[in-house]
Amino acid sequence: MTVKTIQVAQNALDANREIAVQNRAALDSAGVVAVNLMASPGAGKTSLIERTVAELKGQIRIGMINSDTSPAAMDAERAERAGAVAVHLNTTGRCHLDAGMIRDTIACLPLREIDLLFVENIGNLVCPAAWQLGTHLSVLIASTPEGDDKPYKYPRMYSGADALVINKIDLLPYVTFNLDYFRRGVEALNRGLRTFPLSCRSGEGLDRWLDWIAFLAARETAVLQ
Amino acid sequence: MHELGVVEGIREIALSHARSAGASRILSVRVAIAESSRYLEDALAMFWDGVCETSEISGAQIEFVHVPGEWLCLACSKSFAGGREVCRCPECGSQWVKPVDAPECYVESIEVETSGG
Repeated sequence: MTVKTIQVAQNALDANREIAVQNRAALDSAGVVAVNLMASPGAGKTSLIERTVAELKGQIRIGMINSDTSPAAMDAERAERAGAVAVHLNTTGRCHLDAGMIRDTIACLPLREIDLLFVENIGNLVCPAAWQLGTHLSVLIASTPEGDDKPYKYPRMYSGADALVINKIDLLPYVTFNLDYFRRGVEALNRGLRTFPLSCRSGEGLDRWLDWIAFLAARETAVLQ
Repeated sequence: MHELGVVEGIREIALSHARSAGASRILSVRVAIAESSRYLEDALAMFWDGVCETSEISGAQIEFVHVPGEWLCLACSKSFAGGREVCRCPECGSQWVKPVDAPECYVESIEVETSGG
């Protein structure tokens, strides 16, 4: 027997990244554009999916993977009632999704019948940012009642997003949310970030978001990032 | 609980390198953690035994080394070294600082037993 030391020097998240690459290939070959939706609990992830599915019904076929730390599947049921093909992923307490969970879940979905897949991550502004899933884009949802300081407190989440939704703008007159202060924080972390201020409840600002989603779904996946 | 997934990643990387080297057993895994990392050494160690229990890596020790963390001040653009305790830029005093995007935790090396000479 010989004992020897092997130099590795590999990021602990590389094992996850390799599975994410396989997920991307599976999505690409099925012609599915996938969006990783991240936000704090209560920001409106499910509401945005619900509105998007309902508004684009008949135009694009939307799938949804809903994740929660518990078996409570009401969010997936909401998306399903709106017209999505939805599946609930119970992470049994884990605080973020990883690529292995997505690999196992997309195997349960009829990918050929889906144009665009929303992956609703666990409501959490900390660790989901570090875990690649194999989705094409990451969209972060902020909401006005959370306060305008979130880019300053959760810089990793804001610097990694491909697009930002500011939800609940109908509540701006009632909550303390300085849009300029918020945007300055975002701009320092992620210059020129595509931003959609909207309200899922009133529908204000929703058209621009819907146009973008329809545009994404129509694109060949190869041209996406 | 995000350390659980990190520990699973460490296990997979160690196993894959041990297999490529034709090792018969993994004795220890040396893991480097940036001092600015979100991952806590105690929590990684806590999950290690459970995560390895049923795999070929069972019984391997996990060892930690710490590497300096790097931060960036978003107010004055100065970068500086520091750990999790950083709360202000040493240059301008702003609290608007963020860890520089770098691997927070990586497998540095593994110690293995091989049957060859």
